[in-house]
Amino acid sequence: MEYDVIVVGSGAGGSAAAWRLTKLGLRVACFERGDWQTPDNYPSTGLDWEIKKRKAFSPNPSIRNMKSDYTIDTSESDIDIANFNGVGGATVLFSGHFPRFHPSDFCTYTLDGVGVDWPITYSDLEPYFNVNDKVMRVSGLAGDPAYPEMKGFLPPIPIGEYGEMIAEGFNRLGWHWWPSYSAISTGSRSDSPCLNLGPCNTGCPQGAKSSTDVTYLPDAMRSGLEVVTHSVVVKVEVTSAGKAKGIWVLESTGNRRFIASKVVVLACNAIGTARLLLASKSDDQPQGAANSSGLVGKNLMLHPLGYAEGLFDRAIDLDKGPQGCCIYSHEFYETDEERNFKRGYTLHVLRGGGVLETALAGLDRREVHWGSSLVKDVVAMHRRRGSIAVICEDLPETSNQVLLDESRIDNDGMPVVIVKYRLGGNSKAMMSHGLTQARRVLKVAALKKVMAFGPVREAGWHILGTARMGNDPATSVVNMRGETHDVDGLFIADGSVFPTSSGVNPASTIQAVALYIADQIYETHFGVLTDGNAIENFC
Amino acid sequence: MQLKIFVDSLIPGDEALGAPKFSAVAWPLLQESRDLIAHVSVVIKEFRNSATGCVISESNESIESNEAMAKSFSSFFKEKHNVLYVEFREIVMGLYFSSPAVLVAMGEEEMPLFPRGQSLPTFNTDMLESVYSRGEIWRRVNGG
Repeated sequence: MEYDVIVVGSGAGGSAAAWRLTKLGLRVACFERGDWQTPDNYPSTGLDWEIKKRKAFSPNPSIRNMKSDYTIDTSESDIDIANFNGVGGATVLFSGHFPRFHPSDFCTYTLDGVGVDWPITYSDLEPYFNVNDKVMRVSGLAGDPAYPEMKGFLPPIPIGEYGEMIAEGFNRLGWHWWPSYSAISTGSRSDSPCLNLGPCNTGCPQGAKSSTDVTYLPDAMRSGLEVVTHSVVVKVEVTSAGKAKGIWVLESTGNRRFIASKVVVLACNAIGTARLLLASKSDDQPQGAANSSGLVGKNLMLHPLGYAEGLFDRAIDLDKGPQGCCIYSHEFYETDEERNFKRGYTLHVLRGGGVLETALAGLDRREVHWGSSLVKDVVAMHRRRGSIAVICEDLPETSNQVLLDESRIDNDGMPVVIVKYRLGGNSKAMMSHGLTQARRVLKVAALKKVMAFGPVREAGWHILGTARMGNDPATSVVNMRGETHDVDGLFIADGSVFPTSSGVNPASTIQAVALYIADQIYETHFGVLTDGNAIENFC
Repeated sequence: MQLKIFVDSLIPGDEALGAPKFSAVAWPLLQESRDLIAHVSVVIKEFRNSATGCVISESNESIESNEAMAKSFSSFFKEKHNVLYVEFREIVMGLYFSSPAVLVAMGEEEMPLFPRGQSLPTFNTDMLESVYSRGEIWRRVNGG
């Protein structure tokens, strides 16, 4: 049996690509190393949700230690890697904050002389963004002056008293702010609307957050997509003529099985995809599959993140509503020649955590003390700490990379992944500027004891750039259609292909790119898109 | 049961709020962390042999003096065995502040977040007037 397309990975990019290809009538299988999730077991169904959040549902695989996780050595990285290895991928634990890249993000070299231009533009992706917003049930307010026209959203997530107080700070400074675009349903009762639980980043038992296990995948499965779980893909098989032939899968039984397909699509995030390419060596491709440029694994970008925090003089509603979806500012998104760095960042206002987080953070800051005052201290501090994250655009640097350590073998029988990542000078200067501005907002919004710190180590969510898209095979891994320069029929449809990182959360753009690449796959290998199945008329 | 005294001294509850001490709500749960208990017990012995710790008495101490001693122990623990201290702190705090009796005493809900849910008022877009009035700020580029 041969599939038309095998997609490896069921996260943001893989699910979107698999959905589109299935809807185009192809025979598609999506291979996932983990399992389906059980929303009844998500942390916020119990009072001990904060314990589970910090252990079994930690975004850090070395803490979570699920059977489906693989070892990632970050001892040579300034930032730890966050991911999730199960159906839905990282969207299971993402916050749902869902901004698009800006048009300028696709041409940073032309505009600012840094990074590299993409071979595609915002306009190329716009119809895919629009479809993705519908499938991912994006809520938000149309009309943000920091973006080209966008419309068709569900009602925005409420920002609460907390959001209004911080927004007032932005207004006093005359700075841009806007309610978050969120991959969270605020629709009709039948569509599981958001209940404002708070910790979206531990999985959403309500099903309001649009992780791909509740959006793209069920719909695609109704159209014939096969989702194969507990299947670790250990190698992409390439013919001596340079054509993708299929994949080798390590099944939960320990058996290795070859599965044939006309096209293979990798979507395992920028670490997993690079890992698989580098491990897919052959006599013809001794550096790994699709790696004649030597760039597979290089140019890793992680969005350095910092926080400014402060205290309100009383408890407010900052524990209500999606933790990562309140308001954001793109006041400092673009290059300003007066500054000592190029490009810019998002100021992302975050809501607060639970009682345990208050207690532990309070102990660290000597606001909460062991002993007879402990409970009173925690009560006094809870719901008072507001924070703004600074999400910095990370420029591509070849020294920041994913490597394999052939001397160590992980649970999959593959070489252990090593991440080598250091903050560049531009990122450091940008971080410093961002933390200063975030502090200003909090002070103007009347918060006290304002402090800032960054980069935060536990923040490597946005994993981008290890198989760059470009027109020149010497300086990129995939072409403008997402197909590797070296291997016919081998595509990549995740954040690996991003030439630059932007200064926003990437999930929306990863999915738009994946849908775009799915159309490229269809046109290059299977047929012609017509008015009947063109993306514009599809959803 | 030295450990129990120490933990109760660190987390004695709050009589005024009606919050119970640690052992009343979470001691059996802590027993599940056997490795942690074994390691912490070693640290306690180490502390008892230190200059500060040698004055510890297992009994006949008022809660206040136990609390002072427990704080002294926690400083010793944090300084000498930081990784274990962080794990210990995380576990005892997590167990305590997940207890329904403690949460209710603190004025928190006894029911889990789901399916209870929480309400927020609808967003007032009038606040965006100054943002709108500034006009477009996105950077136009050639070719979209």
